[in-house]
Amino acid sequence: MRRAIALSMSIAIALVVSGCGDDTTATTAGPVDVAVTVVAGTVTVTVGGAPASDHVSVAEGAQVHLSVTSDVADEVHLHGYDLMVDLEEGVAGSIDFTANIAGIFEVELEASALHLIDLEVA
Amino acid sequence: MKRVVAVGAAALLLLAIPVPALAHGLGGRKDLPVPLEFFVVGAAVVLLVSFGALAVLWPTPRLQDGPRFRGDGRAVPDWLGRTAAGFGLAFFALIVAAGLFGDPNARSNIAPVGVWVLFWLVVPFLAALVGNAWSFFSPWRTTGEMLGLDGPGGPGRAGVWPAAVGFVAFAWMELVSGRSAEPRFIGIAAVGYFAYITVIASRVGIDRTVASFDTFGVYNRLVSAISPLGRRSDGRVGRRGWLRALPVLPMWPGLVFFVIALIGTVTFDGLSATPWWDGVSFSLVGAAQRAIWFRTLGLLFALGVVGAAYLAASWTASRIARSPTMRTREVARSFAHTLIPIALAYAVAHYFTLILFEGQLIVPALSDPLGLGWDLFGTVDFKPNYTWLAPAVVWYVQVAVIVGGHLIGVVLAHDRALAVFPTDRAVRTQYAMLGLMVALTSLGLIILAV
Repeated sequence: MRRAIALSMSIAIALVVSGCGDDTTATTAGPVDVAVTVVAGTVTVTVGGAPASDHVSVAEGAQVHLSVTSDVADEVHLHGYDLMVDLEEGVAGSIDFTANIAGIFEVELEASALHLIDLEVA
Repeated sequence: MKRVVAVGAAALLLLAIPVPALAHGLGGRKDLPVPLEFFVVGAAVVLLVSFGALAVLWPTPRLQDGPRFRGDGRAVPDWLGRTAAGFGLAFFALIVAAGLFGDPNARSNIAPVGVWVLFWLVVPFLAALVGNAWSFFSPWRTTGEMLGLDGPGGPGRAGVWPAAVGFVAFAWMELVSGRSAEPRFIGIAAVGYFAYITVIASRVGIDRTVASFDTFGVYNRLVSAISPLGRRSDGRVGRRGWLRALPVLPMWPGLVFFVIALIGTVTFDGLSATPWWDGVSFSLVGAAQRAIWFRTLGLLFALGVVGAAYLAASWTASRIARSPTMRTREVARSFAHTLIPIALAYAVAHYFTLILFEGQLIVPALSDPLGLGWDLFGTVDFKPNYTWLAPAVVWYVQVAVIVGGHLIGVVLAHDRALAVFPTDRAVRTQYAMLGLMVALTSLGLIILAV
């Protein structure tokens, strides 16, 4: 019995520790500049000018300026908020909004079904 | 031969196409990760309550002697059954029509929300509350009965294997194919499934088909064993002792695999959305992490891990018990029902917000099911509200559901162990199962927390 308890406790501890994953996303208060560039199907992301992963976190209530440039004409769709903007080839299109819905939302190019970023609002 | 190569090459090409990360076919809002403190509290509750209470307070089996119906029950009136059957047929026809001929945009068509939210989630979740209502609605059962496709009942020698394989195939469509939100895809799949069931039913009869081949018939049947309402032997619906129907669920061949598939597919869905999976899969195969072949492997991997963990726990229990009649295979079958509440808890924790948020799409879709510009009920402009449920409420519900499902599983396993193993060793055989359940719960919580 004691061994079993010790075993489960150590499992629990291991699980708790492994649960502490570090989050590599940038959280900024105030207006957040998210810029996405698509070249030949490859997506690059910057947040406030610095390179970032495709998982972008912003604080709930923050103003967000999302700008997307693509080498192919398409339409940007921010799910959940359901905001769209048409893109011309090589011309940046932008969506300005207040991040007032908590959750994780996908941003994609609608026609090519290309995933751009996951926007986390927390 | 050349044709075989060509088909093979085409299939490989199809598998190599990267798919967008669609959230269950209906991209919208996804849940924020459960914070660490909820996770720790959840895990602690699981450990303390499971260990403390059971060994001390529950020395003899209590749930193994049948469902114990109370009162005389109630017959389901004929007209009600027929109304449900008619409604099921009509709704199925609507889904097929919308899928094949409606607007190809997923959010202007009733097929995606009708199939992936109502049919795939809401119906089985309701089965856990009110019993197997689906058996009245099932359009293929109704069709089979109208065509007079009589035959023997029960699953027969194949058990529920065909239905279990079908479940994995359906989950693959939802989670891996990347096309699950496309109305055309749904329409074709619905027609294909209906044809498949009808052909099988014409050979073995509709009753055996629904009990053995029909994924949704079997799925709803399994989940409905949790419900406090059930069918008595005289066909009337009655109230039964809670959790008493699960232990007497027949141990059909394939039941273990079906239950593993229930847990494994949700595990894959949750796991593949974590940053951990993202990092590991990217370092393994780079951009192919979103390709169909890799996600297919990921799904099989999740099924394999859950299955291996369950068989290892069964093997350990069998070793400790040293009972000649309870080898690994018999233990696995004997305890399969204890995983059903856990499987349901996993699914509810993962998908209840999908129902509550994305499910709102049914409101505009009912006004214009085919996306033809109709406005039958004046609700076509309705936009889902994504803010009415605070993230903290979502976390509380998720952790409570995972922990609750686990506790029920532990109680059922404890009770079964007392019944099938020698008394002096029964509690010790439990360690393996308890370890497994704690591991599963923690896995469920971790997936929600990263």
